[in-house]
Amino acid sequence: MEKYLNIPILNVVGTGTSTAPTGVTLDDTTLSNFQSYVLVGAIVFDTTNNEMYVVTAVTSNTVLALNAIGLTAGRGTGIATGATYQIFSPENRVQAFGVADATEASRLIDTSVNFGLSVRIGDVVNDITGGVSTTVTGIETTTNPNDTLIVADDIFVAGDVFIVYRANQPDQFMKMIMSSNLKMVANTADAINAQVLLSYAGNGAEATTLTYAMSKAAPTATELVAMQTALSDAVTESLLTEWTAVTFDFPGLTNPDTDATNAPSLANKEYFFIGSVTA
Amino acid sequence: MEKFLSIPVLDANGANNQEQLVSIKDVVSVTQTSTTAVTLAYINTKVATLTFAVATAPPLLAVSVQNAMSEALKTGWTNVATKYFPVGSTTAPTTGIVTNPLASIAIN
Repeated sequence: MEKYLNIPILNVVGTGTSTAPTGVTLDDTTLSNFQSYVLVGAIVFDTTNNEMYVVTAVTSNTVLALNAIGLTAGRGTGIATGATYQIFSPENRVQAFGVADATEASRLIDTSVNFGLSVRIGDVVNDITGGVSTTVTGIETTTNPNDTLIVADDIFVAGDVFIVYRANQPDQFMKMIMSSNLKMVANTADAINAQVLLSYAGNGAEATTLTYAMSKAAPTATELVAMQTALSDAVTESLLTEWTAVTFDFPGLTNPDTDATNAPSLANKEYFFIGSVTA
Repeated sequence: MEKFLSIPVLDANGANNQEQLVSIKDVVSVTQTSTTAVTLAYINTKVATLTFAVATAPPLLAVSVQNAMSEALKTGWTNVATKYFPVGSTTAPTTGIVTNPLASIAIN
């Protein structure tokens, strides 16, 4: 009888290959589109060098300022030329992006966007050009259906670049990972202690590797195995439920870190899972 | 206990719909690998690949398969096969013919 853990996994919202960094940064002069989908607090994973960062500023379409996270020994100093990267949005979900094409008081007008398909009242709008933010209070039509946002503050003029996002909503989905037929739940030997391996008792060597955003520089011995322990506990709990309860929601594990080098957006929240690979 | 999803899919001729059973026993995880492909990884390292006709941004296809799998596993042992209609497919009310069935189901 199959049982599964429901694990919240962040969606990959962007990928690419880094060009030469200009500090502790991710630079990508090839795609040049960071302002269209990246917000402060996003997690960047250098998949070539197995290093993680948090975005501290969206400097431009080609540069993200970063703060390295994870164990001191595994922290990077900027994403090197040629490294592949993935970007995750753990706090906010981007709903729309564009350029205002008219000026009207307390309105954001972009006739190329149907805001009604993705935006709702209460969403936040960043005026990237002006460097200020406001909130959506309504949607109306100027030229094309739902092409105008009514906003709380009169900040937009034609030509302003904007991004709309839903605050405090991780861009994630629930992934089912089998919790029955397990052989072992163990920390892997990864340099940044950010992976847990679930191995199965099948005929082959099938296993699932879960990667999460470990942020602390010097975790205690207990903290180093906290995720492995939490997943083991969840596996046990899932197997104690009735057979009709096929899935068990992983209750999460709080990242207790408040050290000075830890990214503020990650401390004292649940750890974010950024990958699940079964092989 | 065996459980299956019964999924409409084009046959090898590429023209005829057929209902194919895909096992949901011992599936370790479901992953959307592209806008049209979902893989089911089995505990014996076999992998079934479902290729959808309609491109859909990840992870929506995988989530739809997961949901179908979860619902099917909640049913009693006499309910062996559960219908799964792929995202993007429609069924003609009079003929029952499915438009946009899966393009293929492969296992390796």
